Amino acid sequence: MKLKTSPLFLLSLFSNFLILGFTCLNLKASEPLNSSTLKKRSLGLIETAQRLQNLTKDQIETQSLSKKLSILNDFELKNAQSISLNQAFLKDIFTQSDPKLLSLAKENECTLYSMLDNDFFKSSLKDRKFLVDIVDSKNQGQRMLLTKDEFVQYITQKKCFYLKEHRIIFDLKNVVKTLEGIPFSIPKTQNECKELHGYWLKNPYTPNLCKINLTINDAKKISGGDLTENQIITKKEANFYTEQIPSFKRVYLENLCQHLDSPEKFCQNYLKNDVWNKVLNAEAPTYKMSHLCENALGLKSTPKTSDLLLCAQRFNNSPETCQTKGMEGYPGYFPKVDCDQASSALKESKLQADYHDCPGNSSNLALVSIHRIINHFYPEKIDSNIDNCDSMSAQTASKLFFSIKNDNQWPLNICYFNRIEKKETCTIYIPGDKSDESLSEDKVVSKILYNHYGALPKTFCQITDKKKYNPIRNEFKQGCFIVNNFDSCTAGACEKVIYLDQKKISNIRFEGSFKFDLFPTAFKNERYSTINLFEEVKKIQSKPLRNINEIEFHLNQNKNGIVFGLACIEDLLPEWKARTIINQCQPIPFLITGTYLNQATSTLKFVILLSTDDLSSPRIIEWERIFNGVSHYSNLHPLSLWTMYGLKK
Amino acid sequence: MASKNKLLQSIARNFVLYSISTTLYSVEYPELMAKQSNENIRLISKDGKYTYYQKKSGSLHFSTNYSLKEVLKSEPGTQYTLLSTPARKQIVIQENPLFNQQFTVNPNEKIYLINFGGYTPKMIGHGSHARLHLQDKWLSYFDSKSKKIFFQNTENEALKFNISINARINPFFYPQVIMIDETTILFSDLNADGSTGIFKLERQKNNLTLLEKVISYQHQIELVACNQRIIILKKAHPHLHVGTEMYLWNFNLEQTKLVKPIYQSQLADPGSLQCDYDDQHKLYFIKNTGSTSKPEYDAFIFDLESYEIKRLTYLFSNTSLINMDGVLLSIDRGKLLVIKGSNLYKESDLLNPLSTQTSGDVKAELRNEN
Repeated sequence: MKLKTSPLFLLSLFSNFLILGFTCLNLKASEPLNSSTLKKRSLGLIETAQRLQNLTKDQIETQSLSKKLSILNDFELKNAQSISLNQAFLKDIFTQSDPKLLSLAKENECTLYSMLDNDFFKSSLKDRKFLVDIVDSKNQGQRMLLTKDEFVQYITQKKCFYLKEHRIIFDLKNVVKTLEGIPFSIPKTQNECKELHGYWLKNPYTPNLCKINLTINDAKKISGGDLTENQIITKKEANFYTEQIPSFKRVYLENLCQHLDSPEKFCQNYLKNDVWNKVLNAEAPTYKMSHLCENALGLKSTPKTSDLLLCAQRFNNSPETCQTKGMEGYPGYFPKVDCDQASSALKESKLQADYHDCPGNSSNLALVSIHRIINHFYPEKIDSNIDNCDSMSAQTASKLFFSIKNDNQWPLNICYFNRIEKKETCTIYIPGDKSDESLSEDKVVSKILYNHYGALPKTFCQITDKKKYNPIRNEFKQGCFIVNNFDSCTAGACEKVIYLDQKKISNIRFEGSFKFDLFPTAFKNERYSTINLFEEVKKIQSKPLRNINEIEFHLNQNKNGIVFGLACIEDLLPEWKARTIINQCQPIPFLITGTYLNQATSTLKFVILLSTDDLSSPRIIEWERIFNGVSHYSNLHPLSLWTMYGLKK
Repeated sequence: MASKNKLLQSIARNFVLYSISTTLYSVEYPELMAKQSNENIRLISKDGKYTYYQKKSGSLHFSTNYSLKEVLKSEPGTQYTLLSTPARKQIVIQENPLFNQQFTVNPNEKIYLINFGGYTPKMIGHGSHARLHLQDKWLSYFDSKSKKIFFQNTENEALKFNISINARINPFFYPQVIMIDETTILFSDLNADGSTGIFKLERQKNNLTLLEKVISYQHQIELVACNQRIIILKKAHPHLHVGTEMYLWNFNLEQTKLVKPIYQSQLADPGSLQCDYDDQHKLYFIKNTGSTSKPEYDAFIFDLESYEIKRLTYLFSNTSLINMDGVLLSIDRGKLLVIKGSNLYKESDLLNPLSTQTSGDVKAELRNEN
């Protein structure tokens, strides 16, 4: 038994209203039609859906198949006073088709005809025929089956003149240009959005626009090798639309056409309070989602607005997308947090980061944190790529270190046999090739080769990958090459071989690895700890923060204030690496970049970016974990120092 | 304003919870008491006879009755981690001189072996995540740079081999390793999409078999061998809301697939499986007793015969489960608590005979019964 509140019942009720509406329209258009006949065919509004459906089918079958029911075959349309869709036929298509289409169909009679023209509705009739009521010149009502083209031609002439034009401007030749002229606006407020939804329902183009979406979706359902002619056409059209129409417009149309019956759902994608939507509305910087989006869509360039819109939908519909996407070439902790948590955290995060780094390639996670901090206080857009995502962190840290000229503390050396002094000598270097840095690896090696190995005065050493270096090729026959094994390389530790004019120079060694006292570990070296260099060189002020209130105050009161700390990973993420040995601790640098109030539990949590984590995937964690992690590390620290500082400039 | 009020309510509620839990643990679980301050202790034998501790100046020391020896000396700030097993034949020392300067998940530590109760270290290699196997006859450790698991026989230096792993997708991955016997090794690895696989290497046949690949990228695994049993824990990565499953692996039957789990939870448990040194049927682990949005962690005992679980601690934020030569420890608000075993090292270290066990486990059991 069906309840009167069931969706099917409501649908039938709704379709009855529509039919009554259209019948009234027809009445006006074709007054000679006998009103008593019409009444006889009308159904009561409170009929059950089941009865309505059965009746509709019976009527259709009877009316279409039984020729004796005065169905005309050879009536001249020009002799008709009026032609209107048969009521039973309307019921049939409305009950068989997607209910959300009715919202559009009810707007306007011509919209309905346009939807019929664009094949939105299914019917029980074969060959897509239309069952119509005709009032002939003698004022007699008749029924007739018309083809779509016959019906549309008549309607175009009599009522909806633009249907023919729409056919032209939306055909494959013109559709792209037509779409260029249609504004696809993005609403910013709820009211604006509802108005926009209403505008689209009234817009006569909407059926043709939704036809694009319908074709693309229909094509996705087609599979198998043996395709009908219609299926082949649908596939071809869908391919054309996908290739020629920008993704922003396709996504927009998908959202519109899927939510014709619900302005709320249509608006949800634009007014959602997530970071993706804030980026789209320019309320949050684009970098908060651009990298994630670039990887989620497999783009090779910075995503456009249309791409971001597509990503926002994807991130909302499939939150797990963010767990895996974005790691290609930029390794970090895997898997990352899901899109929902990334959104919540990014929304509250104050960290400025218009670049992308790769913690998984770093030999020392201190480099990652130093770079993230300096770039936050001195923001700079960096065109990150797989080759520089690690070295940019090393360069930032090197610059900070050398700005106070403390060569003795620098851990990286190139050692060689000094032929003048007849003994091994070591000299400091900064990894990589940098044109503006005299201590860069390539320049230091060039100088050593010139001074001690007979290289020509203007010898320039080129850093290259082991896979690329091929001495048989002309480009490698002359000159100096520092050949790295990039497969096992990090910015601070790399297996290297030097060739000068194809001859291997064996007694030049690269020594040391990046070492940083992020916080002072001995009183004598206090000045050279990173936290002190921040203050001395970069004028970034710091002070220890020991409790939850101090951290909250620091983050809320200082516009660019963030928190920098060192804590045991065993406390920060025990689900990953639990403590199973007494005093076990693997210290990991981290940044706290925002607060997060869990509305459900009224618990204050923190947005934390571990130096192992991908830049676009911060986490939200409890204060207890941070406190325990810092406490345990402090217990093991040589000066028992509290290693969590608030930073501001 | 409303959020401020909520925050104040939250602080008040947390304070009440803190007070309650403080009362609970201070009564139930004694704090570890030893002659050395707790942060310096690296290993104390169960009978309290041997203590290994370190100084912040970078040296590792061994103390026993009337005797104090320096085991290793390194840079100031060096961190030592010591590991032993119920076999009590060997101790692995991991020495990290760059503990405060070089930060990474898989550090390149120096790995040494000493005899249990000894003080003469033998350098083995460089790596991390060292583990003893087969009654301490074998040692394994992982070198993240070369992505190799190294195996070294502890009795004969010449006997060694290594296994290369793939795991390219997660640069911070470290494998779980178990030796079934001298020729059969179980280890975990990641494939290109981040799914974990458990592999069996048969050295004699030079045969590598993928035993199980049921674990999605959202899960990680723990492998432990408690006597003749292999236990596999399939648990969620941090911040991923998937459940936990524990399996028993039967090698005698040449099992090649994980069958019905012996334990399941809808919540993400941290795990941290620990075998009981005395009762071969008991296993300890950390379970989430809260919810997805508000996890609460405590230690539980799992009975490998009856598959029953029993709560061991009521700390609500217990994320550390340390088995120090059979004495089970947890940490709560910076204090090392003895969950099972004696806490009276201070007495034994003072050359008094070991007193009758008035231990934490007895009290915990009583509390459970109540």
